[in-house]
Amino acid sequence: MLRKRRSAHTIKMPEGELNIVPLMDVLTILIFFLLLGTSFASYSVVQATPLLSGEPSQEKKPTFVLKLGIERDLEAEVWLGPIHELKMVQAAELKAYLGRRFSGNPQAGYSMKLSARDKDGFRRELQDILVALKKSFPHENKVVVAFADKIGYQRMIDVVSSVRELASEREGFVLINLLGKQEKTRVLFPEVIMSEWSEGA
Amino acid sequence: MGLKRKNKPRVHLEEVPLNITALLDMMTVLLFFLIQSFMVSSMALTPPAGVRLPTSSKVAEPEETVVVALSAKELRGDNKLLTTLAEGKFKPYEIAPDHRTIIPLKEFLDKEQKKRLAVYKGAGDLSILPPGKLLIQADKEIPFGILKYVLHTATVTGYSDYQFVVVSESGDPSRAPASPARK
Repeated sequence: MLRKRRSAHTIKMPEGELNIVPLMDVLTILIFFLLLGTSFASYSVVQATPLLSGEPSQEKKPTFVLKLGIERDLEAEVWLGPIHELKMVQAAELKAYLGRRFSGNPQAGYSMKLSARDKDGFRRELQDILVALKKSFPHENKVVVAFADKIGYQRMIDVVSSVRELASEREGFVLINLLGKQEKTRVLFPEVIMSEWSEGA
Repeated sequence: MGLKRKNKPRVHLEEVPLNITALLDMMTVLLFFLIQSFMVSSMALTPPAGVRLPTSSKVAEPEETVVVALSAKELRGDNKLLTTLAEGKFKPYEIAPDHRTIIPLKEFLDKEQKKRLAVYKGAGDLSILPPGKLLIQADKEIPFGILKYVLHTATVTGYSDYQFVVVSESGDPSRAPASPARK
């Protein structure tokens, strides 16, 4: 069984240089157009919903109510509705805190005025209050924020962002949920309901 | 006076082939990077002229939906001019009798809402659909007293999920750290 080994014919390809000039042209033009069309600013969104009126509920169910009124720059009014029938954790700590910072009582609710010298101080103080409330109401997510007509859009966004989540420079806080488990979070009241400020509302 | 021009001796350089491999590598990588960034941010969120967006440190990805842009001079819907403002206020004849609704914006959003609902035609009760999302690009100096007309009109047309477009604080050049104060 002799195998004949055929001599393989070597095929000679024509020698030539690869011309990549057209490729370079296309690439350069493509990059130029892509650079023109690309936006390097990073956009994101801050979400909120409006306060809608409706039929009052017939069910007598205690509801958590937290309202912020922004009438002037760097000033806020904070209202906390009646809390005596609400589920809460660390109730004694909350009552002590409300007694120090707020005026009111558990049946009628609490209120306080907040003012700061600068934007960062305002955000810090507002978030301190919200952290204290969130620790006692870890299952609540809604906050109503009412803005006066003269409040600028940037300030409005600052407030909405501040009530949703802790500022990036702050560390998260530990809260105990209704099941008694500890968890670390940065989230405050992420469901922001926007409203219009009216005196005495 | 006459300057004598000396004949410089001619230097014959060796012919060296230009190596463009590194250049090609770099351009290809740049091309991939740009195409990727194009695909990620497919939505055109660049605000129209006259709209300086506010800044925020919170990051949430925008979703593709109807865009309304409000500056001190004009109101746009999906980049089409809807109306102009006079001295930073809406013209009285473009406000509905309820003193809240902007008529041109309502007409625009009604059309968009019809398009949105047409998708769900025959799917049952449309009233249980979640409210429409509306991307709002407003100038950071606009007072709430003007913006509230837009928000109200959006709500009455079914767009009550507001998505305020902001620039991430890290990407805003105007928030660069200030130079240290001189003593």
